[in-house]
Amino acid sequence: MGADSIMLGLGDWSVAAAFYLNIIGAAFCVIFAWISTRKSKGE
Amino acid sequence: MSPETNTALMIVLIAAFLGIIAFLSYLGYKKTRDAKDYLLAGSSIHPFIMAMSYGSAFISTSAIIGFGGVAGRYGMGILWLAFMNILFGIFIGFRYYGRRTRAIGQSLNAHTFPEFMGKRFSSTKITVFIAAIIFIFMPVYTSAVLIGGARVMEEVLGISYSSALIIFAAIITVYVIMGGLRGMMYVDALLGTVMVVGMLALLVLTYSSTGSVIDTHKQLTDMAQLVPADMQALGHQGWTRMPVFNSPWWWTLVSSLMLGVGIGALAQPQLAVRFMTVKNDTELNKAICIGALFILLTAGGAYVVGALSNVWFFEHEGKIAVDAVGGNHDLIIPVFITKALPQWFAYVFTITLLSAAMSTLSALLHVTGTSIGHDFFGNMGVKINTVTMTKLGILAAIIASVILAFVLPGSFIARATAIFFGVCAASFLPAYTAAIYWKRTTRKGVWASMISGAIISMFCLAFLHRSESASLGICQAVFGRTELISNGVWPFVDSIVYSLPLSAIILIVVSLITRPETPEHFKQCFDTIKK
Repeated sequence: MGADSIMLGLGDWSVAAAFYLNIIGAAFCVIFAWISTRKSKGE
Repeated sequence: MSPETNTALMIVLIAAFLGIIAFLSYLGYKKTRDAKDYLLAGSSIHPFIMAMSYGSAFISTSAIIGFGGVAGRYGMGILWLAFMNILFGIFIGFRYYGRRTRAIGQSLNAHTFPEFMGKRFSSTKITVFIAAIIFIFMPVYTSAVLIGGARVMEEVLGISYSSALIIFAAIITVYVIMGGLRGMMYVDALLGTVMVVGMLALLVLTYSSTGSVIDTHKQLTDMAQLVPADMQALGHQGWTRMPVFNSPWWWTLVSSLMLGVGIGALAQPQLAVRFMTVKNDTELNKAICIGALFILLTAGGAYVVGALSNVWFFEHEGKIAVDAVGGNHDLIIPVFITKALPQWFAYVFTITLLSAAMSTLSALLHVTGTSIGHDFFGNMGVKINTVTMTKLGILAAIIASVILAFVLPGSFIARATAIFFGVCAASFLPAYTAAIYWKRTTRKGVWASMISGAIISMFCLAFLHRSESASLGICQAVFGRTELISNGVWPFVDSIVYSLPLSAIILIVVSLITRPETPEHFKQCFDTIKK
């Protein structure tokens, strides 16, 4: 897998990072909400 | 299908859509019994409804059409803004501002953002000041969103702009006045769902019209040599790269869009009030999940589609997007939808755009109405029932916004959002943050911060930041030039870069040299916050 694919065919690392961070950020929020809901049910 | 059939079909679709909205608004009306219900939806809203309402109030037509078009011109660097929206607007907003706002707001029995700030610092004058700022600046922003919605109706239904504006304003006024915040939030949940479905379909159709994800990105990357010389001179390096560091476009992207809109969202009264509508912290945490996915699909989707439209326009018309639409980037998304995507999608997208406009408008009208009716006149000794006052305030807000929508010049409209976000961030964010986190904050510190933030940001908008100062024309009239400092990148540095830190420093310094609030007051404010 070349650097080009990791960068999703985008022109520079900062734009590729923004692309990934959007997805990672949203996924983090989903996991955070799931864990906090589980914790509150346990309390 | 003939154009007449298309229009008839569209009218039926919009009528059905409005029918569902009327039903949801009626549900809200039936469940609204007192002022707390009308102003705060009884503080018992489901987290899904709260998150969809927050997201759809946040993302308006101008975010999809306006910022999507900006992505068509600037490229995918604007994806940093979508990330800032998720990080600040959702995660930090809900987790670090929402919890404390809800807890302190309930302890103080505050129903609105101005009332929250006023009660936190035991000052009705603070409530009145914030209400006045909202009532002065919010209609400018409201009119920008109103124009967006009216333009969509004008285009789709083939009616005049004036008729579209009046009809659109009347529909929203009726459901906001009738259903209160509860009815609005039910409607927002529907509108938000429509927006997610519409934007997801737009994203999938865009990628499928240009190839696979990586191939499409590569095609866009390979178009870098097509960047016109005038755009290159401002720092543009291609649609999949950030602009040159410290260039005018870099500053616009980073200071105006990423910081101004990204951080500015934390100080939006119409968003902050939604934190007080849920029952407990767990409900707020659940809402984080929905809110983040909403922003990813709506804002992130619009920015990606705007940038990728360049590939389609170049393949089919031999031009980059902004040239294909005659230089006005507000037209990139609408023209791309009309030309590149199936006709059925134009109907779905019309409903998506109307949803985006209506949800933001209702939130703005409700918060302006509560500010003028409940917070301003309510504290000026006018003895009328809170709900009646708020309804009158909503009516005043819509009249002011409609008048502005008729008189404001077209070139000024896009600036309205930036002006409102800038003034809100500099005036309210340091004071709001200190109100929920720093017990040493004093009433005088908050006054100094809010007044200096408002004055500094208005001065910057009128005399320093070129895009606003040129539109307003005050600097030109007084000094005979568009901005006071024309050297280097200064005309492109957004006011938030200096007005926000200055406002924060003034708050800290004045608070430290003035007398703190009483321990009893702190106890009332902070004791209910869970560690």
